[in-house]
Amino acid sequence: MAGTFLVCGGLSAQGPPPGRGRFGPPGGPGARFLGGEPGMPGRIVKNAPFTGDLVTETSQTLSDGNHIKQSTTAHLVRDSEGRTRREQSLSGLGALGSTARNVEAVFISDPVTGISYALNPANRTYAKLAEGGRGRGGRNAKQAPNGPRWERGVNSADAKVESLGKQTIEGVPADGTRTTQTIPAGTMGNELPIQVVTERWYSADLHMDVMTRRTDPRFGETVTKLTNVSRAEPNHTLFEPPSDYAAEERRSVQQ
Amino acid sequence: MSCEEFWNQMPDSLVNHASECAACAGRLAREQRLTAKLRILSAELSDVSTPARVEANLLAAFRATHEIGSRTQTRWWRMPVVAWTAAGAMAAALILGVAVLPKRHVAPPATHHSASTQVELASFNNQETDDGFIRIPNTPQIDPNDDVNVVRMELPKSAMLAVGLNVSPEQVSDTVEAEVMLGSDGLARAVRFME
Repeated sequence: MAGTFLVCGGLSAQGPPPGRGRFGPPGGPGARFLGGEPGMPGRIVKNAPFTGDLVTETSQTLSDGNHIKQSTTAHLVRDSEGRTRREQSLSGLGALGSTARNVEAVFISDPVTGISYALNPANRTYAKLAEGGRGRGGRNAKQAPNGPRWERGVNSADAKVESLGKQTIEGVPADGTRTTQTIPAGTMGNELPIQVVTERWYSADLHMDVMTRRTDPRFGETVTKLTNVSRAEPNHTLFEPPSDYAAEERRSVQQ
Repeated sequence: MSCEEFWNQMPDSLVNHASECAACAGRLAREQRLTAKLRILSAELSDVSTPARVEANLLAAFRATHEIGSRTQTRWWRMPVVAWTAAGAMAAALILGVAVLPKRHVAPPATHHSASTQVELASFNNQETDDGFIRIPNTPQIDPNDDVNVVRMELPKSAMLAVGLNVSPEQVSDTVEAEVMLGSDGLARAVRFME
């Protein structure tokens, strides 16, 4: 992040180019949602229907005392057959930019029919992907990037796991664990060891985390919490595109 | 069809496939970016000439190796093909070494990145996945079992700065199409630019 600010500072020192205003922050305003990429979920959970809001808040304190806070929400729905619907707000782009308020993407996965949808409520269109097919994002896009290359210096042997007991969160019983990962001094040029602490509250009933708190001195604190939980069976119409939505036409790749 | 014709007149079938397959489109875009940058590098090095000592050293090494010269007085057209091939390879290696290395040391190319950014860039280079997604710095890793979603976005090109890519000041307010990978918490974790 520091490097990013340095780059922006360097550009600003040269003055804005003719005909353009001053440079904004990285990404700046004006990010625009074009559409979602449908894909199949990694794990199918049956017989555990629920509806809830997943709220994620991040806070980061910079070396100059400045604070960065972000919040993003997702409305989650799952039925007894394992169908899922996720209405995801796009306010969590961070350094990439910011969208207009209330912009969201909707992802539907139906393991019964083997079809996934990505809905764009803004223009009332949807993209569809049958199981085994490849969307523009492709199946690879649904898979998490190569883990080991993404977190260098963290060895599972340096992790300590402890139980936090049981707790009821938003009416859902959950088991808590705290994992403390220590990145030894010198691993990435760090003078002192870095401790990354992750608290997870896992619901065996819902087969998912109902709350997580991750504290990393490099990235700040991220708290994700499931709220407004209902265990009622959701309406099946939520797992298919509304009748007034049109199938999205594929666009050619920009050159 | 020659190689040049192939790359200059890409068959429609390949172009059509790239318009439907993000993976191949990204791969093609990266190849085109690489080609463009190699052309720029080639143009930058066009005024670099090989010092005279290179030819002298090359000839001396060649004569020493093949014991030609005063003893055999072999005509150049009578020299074995293997010898000419070896000489050509040595010359190419020497010319390439002389042309490229001093250029970097004497006149480093202009860049918009500060030294610290260069360090970040070096670390970012290891964080691009095979399918072209670049991890957004200062974000936690994605667990391999995490459910992730991908959205297509039109972003300001200044967003490319956030992942350590170079953007000229003239283009920083332009937009670029990208695919953004969201973690299960809805936060952006990685980005893949489509241009």
